[in-house]
Amino acid sequence: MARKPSQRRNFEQDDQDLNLIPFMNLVSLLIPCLLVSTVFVSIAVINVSAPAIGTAAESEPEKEKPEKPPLNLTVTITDQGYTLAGSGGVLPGIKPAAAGESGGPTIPLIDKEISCTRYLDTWPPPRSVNKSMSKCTDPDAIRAFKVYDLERLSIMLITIKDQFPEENKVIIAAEPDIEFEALTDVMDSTRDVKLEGDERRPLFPEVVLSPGIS
Amino acid sequence: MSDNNDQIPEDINSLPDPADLHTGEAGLVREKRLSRRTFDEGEGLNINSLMDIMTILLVFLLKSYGSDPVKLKQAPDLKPPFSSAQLKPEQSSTVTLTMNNILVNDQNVLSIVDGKVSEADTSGGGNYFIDPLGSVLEGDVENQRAVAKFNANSEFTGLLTIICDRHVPFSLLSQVMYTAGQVEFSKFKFLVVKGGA
Repeated sequence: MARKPSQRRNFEQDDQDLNLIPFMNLVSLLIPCLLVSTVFVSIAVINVSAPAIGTAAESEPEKEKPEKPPLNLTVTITDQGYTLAGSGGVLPGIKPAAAGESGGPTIPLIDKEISCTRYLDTWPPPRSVNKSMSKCTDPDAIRAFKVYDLERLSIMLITIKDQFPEENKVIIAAEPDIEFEALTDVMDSTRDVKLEGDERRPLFPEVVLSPGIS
Repeated sequence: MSDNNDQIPEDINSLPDPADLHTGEAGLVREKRLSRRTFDEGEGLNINSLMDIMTILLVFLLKSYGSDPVKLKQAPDLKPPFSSAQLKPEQSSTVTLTMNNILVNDQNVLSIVDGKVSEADTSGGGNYFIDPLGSVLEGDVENQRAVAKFNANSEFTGLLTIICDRHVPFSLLSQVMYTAGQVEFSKFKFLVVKGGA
């Protein structure tokens, strides 16, 4: 309806606010709900090829024979340490075991003081060795355990990569009782090595899991 | 202590009585006038900024909830190991291994004891094939192939993501991988938590 000209000036627009209460109810319920159900860990994956058993070798085209036989670098994890071997060449820094002789691991376990942060309420691998000790309970504690010598493994892998730069494949085998965490630790060491800053030098990124040793 | 602070200022009489400002009749009028002057518009709580925060938070949470192709469920017996891996997970079927259960796509398939499958559930050479897991995975492969027939975008790639607790022994892992390999899963991805050295 048109207004009287005299009333135009006094006309107050109805400044009604939007009724936000239902929306607020919804939002204040949704936010706690989502906060609880969201897991705030960033996840990643490690690519692994299957052990070559069964149907794995179905229709692979016959490759031309490479000039050099593949190195077949194998890292075997036991509860005594790591054993490195390569069928396609002599690995630097490793004495090939004499026939019939079952030498110890190439890289035995070491006693090391480690932080408990990663192993809260459990033991660092190999757990079959560390189980006799008490569990890590305090995240800030630094305790001595027998652990795998990942630094030495890394150094040896770098020397091997220097000698066989074209190799990208590593076969990882383990004893049946070795826990998954020890496996991923080795995969971390074989995949790449951290250089200065944020750079990483790839070593043997193609991991093949071997069905294991009995 | 000096007594200076307690001394009464000389011009006390010319100062207005503080009590008068609020309680006296003049004070009331003054206060009314003041409030009319300053709080003329916008009565009630101003929740605009709160709404902004909540809307942004809601969008962020909804986005982070739905964007990951593989979700990690929280359970006391499922703690994947830390790793320095950087690859992003891809959409695929999942097998979850804990010390007590084997799950396929978040459905329980088999309960196990201390990370070992009882021999009654296994078959094949060296007891590598886990029968219940094999049949479930086979059904999953058939499903994927049936979908792939009608949808060119979802090809069967033979990719399987394995979500594995850090304590799971290698024997169980190799059994599961062998079983998956028998039903034509050929590429595997191990799920890990970022944060390793």
